[in-house]
Amino acid sequence: METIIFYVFAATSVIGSLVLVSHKNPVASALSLVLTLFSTAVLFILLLAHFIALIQVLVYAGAIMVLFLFTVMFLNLRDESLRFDAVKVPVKLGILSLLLLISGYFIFIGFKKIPPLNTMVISHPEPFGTVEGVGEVLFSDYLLPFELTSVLIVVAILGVVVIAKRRFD
Amino acid sequence: MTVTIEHYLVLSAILFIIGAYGVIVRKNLIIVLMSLELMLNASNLAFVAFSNVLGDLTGHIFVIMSITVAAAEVAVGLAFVVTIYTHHETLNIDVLRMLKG
Amino acid sequence: MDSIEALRSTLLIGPELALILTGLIVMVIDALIKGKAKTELFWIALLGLAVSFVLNLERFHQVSSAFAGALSLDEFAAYFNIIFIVGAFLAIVLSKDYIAKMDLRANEYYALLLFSTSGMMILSSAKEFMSLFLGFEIMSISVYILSGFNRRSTRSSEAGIKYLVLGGFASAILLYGIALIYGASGTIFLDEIAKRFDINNPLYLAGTALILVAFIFKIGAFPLHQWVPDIYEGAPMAVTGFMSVGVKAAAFAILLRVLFEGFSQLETSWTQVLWIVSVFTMTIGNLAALTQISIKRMLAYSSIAHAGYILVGVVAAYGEKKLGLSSVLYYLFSYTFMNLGAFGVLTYLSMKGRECETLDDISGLWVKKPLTAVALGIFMLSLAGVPPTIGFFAKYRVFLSGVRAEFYWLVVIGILNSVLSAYYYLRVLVYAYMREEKVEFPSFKPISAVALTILTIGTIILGIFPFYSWDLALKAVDSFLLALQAR
Repeated sequence: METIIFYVFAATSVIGSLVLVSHKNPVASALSLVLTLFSTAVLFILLLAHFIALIQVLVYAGAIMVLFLFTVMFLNLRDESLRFDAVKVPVKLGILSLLLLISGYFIFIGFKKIPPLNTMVISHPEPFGTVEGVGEVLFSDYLLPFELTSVLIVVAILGVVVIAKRRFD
Repeated sequence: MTVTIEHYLVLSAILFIIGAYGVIVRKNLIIVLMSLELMLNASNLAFVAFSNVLGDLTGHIFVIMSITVAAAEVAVGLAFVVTIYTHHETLNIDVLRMLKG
Repeated sequence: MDSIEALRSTLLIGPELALILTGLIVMVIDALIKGKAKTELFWIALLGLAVSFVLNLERFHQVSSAFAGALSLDEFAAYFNIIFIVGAFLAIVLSKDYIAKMDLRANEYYALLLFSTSGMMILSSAKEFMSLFLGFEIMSISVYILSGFNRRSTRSSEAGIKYLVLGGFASAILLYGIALIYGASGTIFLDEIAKRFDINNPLYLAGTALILVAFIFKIGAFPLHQWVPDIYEGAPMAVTGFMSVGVKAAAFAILLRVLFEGFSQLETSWTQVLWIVSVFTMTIGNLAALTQISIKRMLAYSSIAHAGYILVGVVAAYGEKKLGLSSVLYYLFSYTFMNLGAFGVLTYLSMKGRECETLDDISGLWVKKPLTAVALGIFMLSLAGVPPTIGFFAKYRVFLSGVRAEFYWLVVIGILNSVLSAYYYLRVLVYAYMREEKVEFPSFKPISAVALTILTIGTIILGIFPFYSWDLALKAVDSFLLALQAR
């Protein structure tokens, strides 16, 4: 059962990402990114990361995607303004195969050499991956990074205001 | 045939490469930003997969942080996209080449 | 980590907190006070940096670690923090008139500069990948925004988005590298990673390579240096100065810490890689700088070349740990003065709607503004490495460590490059001193003049009498190496 779920959603995420990088229209790309992120969330549940899966759907597939779609709609892109992205197949194939070659070693040889990572753990003791477990680690061991994210978000808010606000004063 | 961690790693590597390909090849700024998201998402998958094997929650925390970073980066990036569009009426990344020489 | 430990740690990160709080105060005050001219913000920002500087000095007396080992508040980090704080302080002083001239928003500018500096300070003391990554992002995102800060200028926005896309690419690569290292070792703490490092495990190799790529991007070294001239040219002049010294120093701080503390088992391999990177970085930077007409672009290529010289010190640390590393620290310190000074003069000479960029913009400077011309001359000679300026002593120490570590060819290439670079630095002086005036120069501005005076004096005096700067660098490296041996 789990094998089937894995392959179905792995395939969906790969298809979604391929559509994302190849489709001309940003709206279609945004929707296929949602598809990819959502299937990744399912895989997170298979990996016993329930809380992360939740966040993935809420924040990533929800909030960030809305931001993308909003910008696309806000800019009111017409078809002719997207023409520039015409496909140059040989160039793209060249770059893709180069990237595949570089990473092929790790995909087909490298990962097989890793000694302790052969099996996946089907069940962990209860708090693993739940809100309780993640929260406890987050607010004790990784307190500093958690606080730093608040600075990061202030910076981002400040930046968006500076860059995109139309009229000052 | 059971699913092992290796499968997840291969999947994450594939997603990462597709994302990198999108960043390098595409010219539409919004799609370039989405491809960046895809790369970060691929890293998240690797983190969660490793976390499962190690029985350690650090990877999960890292994913939360990386989602925050992704959100911040996208917000700033899209703000830039809006200004670029008002300046040039296009999202073609090639207009940025005018910075050169 | 219990609440007492959390409280203790919070008290220990005073310098960082001071900057973050000052940034927030600047934002709040701006919202509360009505009216146009807000000079208070300028003084508050400077005060925050001064407080942070004083608190940071405390770390030279008492080394500690905070947040369960996430931050190592050692002398090594404290030395880099001095570089960041001094850089940010002088950048703010230099920017004040520039902001007024270009009609930019002062409060956000100061706040972002302060946040960016706090990110650098977290970065320099991070001993764990999560804080490292977040510090890296706080610094980077602030700097992306600062590069695109001038919304009226198309070039500035373009520099911002370009930096964001390329920097985001580097961050994604860094994150994937960290994921692989985490998967291989099961931890994100650098010292634990060093203990569990296994050369036969391909995950470690791949992770190290990816992380190294991200850092090489941030340093602006070959083969990922192409972004540097474009972004330096597009960003507002005052930001470029800060960026060229702060981000570079922070990237070197984290490069040293991660490579020496985390991946020391691969030292031979990455030394070889950095050897090649160093040679190409300085040669390509210098060759490209030779043909530039724009001074801003020329300084961007020169900053690539300087990254190459600094890498000589990192490579030399293979044989000469102490001398090599302290020469890197000292070089970054002196680079802060001379490069910020060079950009400072250009910032000073910029006028509304026209940045001082090309060689024509400075011709005849000697006739109209002799003191500024003298300052420019000193910065250019220092960048070229002419004694008795600070640039000469910095280069001397880096190359000396290279010779001691027996990397003769690298040093020979470095010296040849140095000689080559004199041509384009001196060409600027030929224009400034010997050509006819072509454009108008702005009127005298006291605050910028003070900053330029400090930078000029620092560039001359700190070379001949390094005071504490060299001793502190040695001390910082000592503590860094002691911590490495202790485990």
